[in-house]
Amino acid sequence: MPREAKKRADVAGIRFPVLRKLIVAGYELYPGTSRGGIKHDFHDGVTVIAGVNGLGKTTLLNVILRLLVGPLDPKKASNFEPGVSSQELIRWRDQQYFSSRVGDGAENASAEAVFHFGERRLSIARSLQNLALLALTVDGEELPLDEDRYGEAAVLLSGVASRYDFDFIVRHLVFFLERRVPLFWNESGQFEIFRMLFFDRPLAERLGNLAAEIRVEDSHFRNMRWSFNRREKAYAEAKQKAGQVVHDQAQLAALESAIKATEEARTKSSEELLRMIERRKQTITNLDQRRLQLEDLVRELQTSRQRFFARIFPDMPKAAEYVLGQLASGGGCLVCGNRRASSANRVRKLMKDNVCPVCESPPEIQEKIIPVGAVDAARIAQMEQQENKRQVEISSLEKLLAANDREIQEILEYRAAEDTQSVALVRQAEEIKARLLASPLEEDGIDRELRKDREELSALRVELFKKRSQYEDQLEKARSRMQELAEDLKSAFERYASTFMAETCRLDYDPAEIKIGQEGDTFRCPNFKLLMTSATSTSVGAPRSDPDDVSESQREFIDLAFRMALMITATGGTSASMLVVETPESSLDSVFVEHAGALLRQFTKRTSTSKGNVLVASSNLNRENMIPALLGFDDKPAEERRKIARRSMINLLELAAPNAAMRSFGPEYRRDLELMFNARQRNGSRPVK
Amino acid sequence: MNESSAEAEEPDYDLSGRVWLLLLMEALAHAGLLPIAKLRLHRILYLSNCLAPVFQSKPPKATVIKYRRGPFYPDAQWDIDRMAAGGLLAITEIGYQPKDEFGPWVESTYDLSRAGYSAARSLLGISSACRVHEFLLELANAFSSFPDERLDPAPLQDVNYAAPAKPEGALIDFESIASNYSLQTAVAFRNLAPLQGATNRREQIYFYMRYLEQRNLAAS
Repeated sequence: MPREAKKRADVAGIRFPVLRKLIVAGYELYPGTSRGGIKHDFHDGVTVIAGVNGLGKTTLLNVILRLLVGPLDPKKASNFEPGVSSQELIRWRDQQYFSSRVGDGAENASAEAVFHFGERRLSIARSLQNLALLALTVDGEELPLDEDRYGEAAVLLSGVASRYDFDFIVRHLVFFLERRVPLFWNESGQFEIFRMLFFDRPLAERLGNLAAEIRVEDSHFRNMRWSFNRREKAYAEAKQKAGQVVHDQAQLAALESAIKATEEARTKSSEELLRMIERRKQTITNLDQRRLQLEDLVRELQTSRQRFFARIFPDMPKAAEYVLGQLASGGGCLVCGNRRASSANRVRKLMKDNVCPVCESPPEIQEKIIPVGAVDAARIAQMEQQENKRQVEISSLEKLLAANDREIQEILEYRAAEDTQSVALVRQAEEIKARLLASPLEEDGIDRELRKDREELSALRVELFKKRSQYEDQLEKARSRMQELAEDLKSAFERYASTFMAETCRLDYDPAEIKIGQEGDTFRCPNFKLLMTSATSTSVGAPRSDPDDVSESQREFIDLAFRMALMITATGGTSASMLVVETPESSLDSVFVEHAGALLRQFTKRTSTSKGNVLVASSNLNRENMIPALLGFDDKPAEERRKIARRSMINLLELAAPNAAMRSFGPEYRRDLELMFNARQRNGSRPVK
Repeated sequence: MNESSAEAEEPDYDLSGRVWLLLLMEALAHAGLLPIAKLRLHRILYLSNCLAPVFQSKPPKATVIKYRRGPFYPDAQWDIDRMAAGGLLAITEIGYQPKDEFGPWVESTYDLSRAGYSAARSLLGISSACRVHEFLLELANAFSSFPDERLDPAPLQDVNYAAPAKPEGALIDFESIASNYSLQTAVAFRNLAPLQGATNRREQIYFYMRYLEQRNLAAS
């Protein structure tokens, strides 16, 4: 490592935990030989946890992981969004992970380990029942058995900014488990790990805290704005209703005034109607009186005329005489119903002129002279005059009565129309009153509250803007820092990648636009893209930032190479690192197993730029030859291989409680293991494609 | 369509005037009061006008002028004479009185002709006419229970007609229930102990007639 780069790396002062000793005792899953459990010292180089499916390889890796991270998990863990969640740790959700795997609930099970952090030494023991601390020493000095104190110690030993960062680094960088975060292939993940590894502690802390604060405030701001908008909308609607209220009140006032006017008009029309009815009654009185007077006159005249008719028609039936008398007396014609005075006058004139009232014969041609009808001509004439007068009066009174009836009819129709209108007005007023009752609005109160909230929202927006500006300032430092380190990282990556990639791979420093929170501008965060030649082009081509741009094997090993480069760059080669890899063969074609093994071993080799590192890998005892490749059996003789295995292999075939497969096929597995020590390794190594 | 709704939809026939008179004549025939003198006919016609609301019927005329010869409707007389000339009624007697206590008068007596009887029976096919006829029949029967000497004077004791504040020539108006004292009196018999609540409308007419008789007896 160039002196300059080393100096820069020192600034970060990151030290990764390196496992040097592991003891698992009292855990039924690993009874060990002679019930001694597992006890293993880890040396520089590769250590393989060998076994078959179900023997507890992953559990053992988790024992190592949990010794470091303890009973805590990130609050919002997402494999695909590392670093995006809030930076909080909460109690481990799967507390029964170890105890549920054994019959005794891991009551007396414990795990103990020694980790080196550079020159410093952490000795830790935890109960496998609940991960409680059983022992804790740093550089031989005992610490209180308190998880917080352990956290502080871990932060201090590793040189990171926080327990969260320590947890993240262990979980997502040191450990490369099957359920892992694709660190390289994730822009947020890349930047998050840069922050933790490469920036000085205040910057790392500041960036971490600011990002967390921005996320919290962004979320708070959005929640508040959502609530505010909802209330503002409701208020706007209420205000609109209030506008309606004002309109309604005005309309109600107008309606009430109209109703009052209608009522007054009705009272007047009632009085007028009463007057009309009275007038009509008077007319009827007058009319009926006149009719009775006429009746009297007619009967008197009839009595007078009766003598005339009795003389001229001595044998005439009474009824006919009555009819003629009625006619001559002005009472009308009972035969045809004609009541006109003219017919009576005609008969009277005939009688007066001694003309026959039946055939109108003059006296000179009459066989029997019709005597003059008037016995008392003067009296009859007087009565006839009165009778005519009454007839005229009656006629005019009848007309008056008809007029009275008409005006009453008119006023009744007018009142009916008025009633309809009045009912409509009252109903309209009632509807408005009901509406007014149903729309109370404390306009001032809501307005004040909303104004206050608007101000608060505005203040929050300003605060968020300030935070984002501060973050941008810090980010500028981060970009500058990463640009300084970019070459170191790139060259380390190329060195590892070239070991197992047929294609030429390079990193290209290319800041990514990353969002913090759901709104606001993106931040240009330090990031690296992969440039790689392809089968069809030998020149280093376009950036491949998407995991789907490369094959599955390439994806895995590019991520591994990136991690190795990160570790080497972060430590500057001044302290050892550790990678824990779960079944590296799982995504490899068998042809490339040896090559992968060589690569992983290369990470552990002590070079001029790196101390010897530790790589712990779990692997299946199968015919893929991963274990020999990891342990570097190469062409070594069987005895040497056994020696290497004793030193660098935790053989779960011997140490773990036999499962059903072991009970059935134990001899076959042991034969496979034996073969591993004796078989010739495949010659040559082909790079991974 | 059922019978009751058919009845409900019957046209609103005008039962005033000649129809009312013809039905009254038919009722009087049943009560053995025919032939009937003009003035008596007018008095019972007047009583029918006053008491029709007891049977929820609308009378032809709800006013009368207080007249020295007693209640008299000139229009009704015209209708009576027209029906007589038309053959529905028969004029059985005509008496020309040059001068009685109130002046000259022509008294006549009327009966129901065969044609009139037949026309009245036809009218009973109309349910509203039938209801009126029921009332007129009760009225005529109650009226016929007067002793002969009370037949003419008793109606003059009618509460509406005999109201002391009404001078001759005044209009007696009993159009509203409030102003129809005859009706109120008849209906009041409903509440008389020991018959409280037990009287029907027929009995109310009957009691009112007895009441007129008693008033007349008291007045004479």
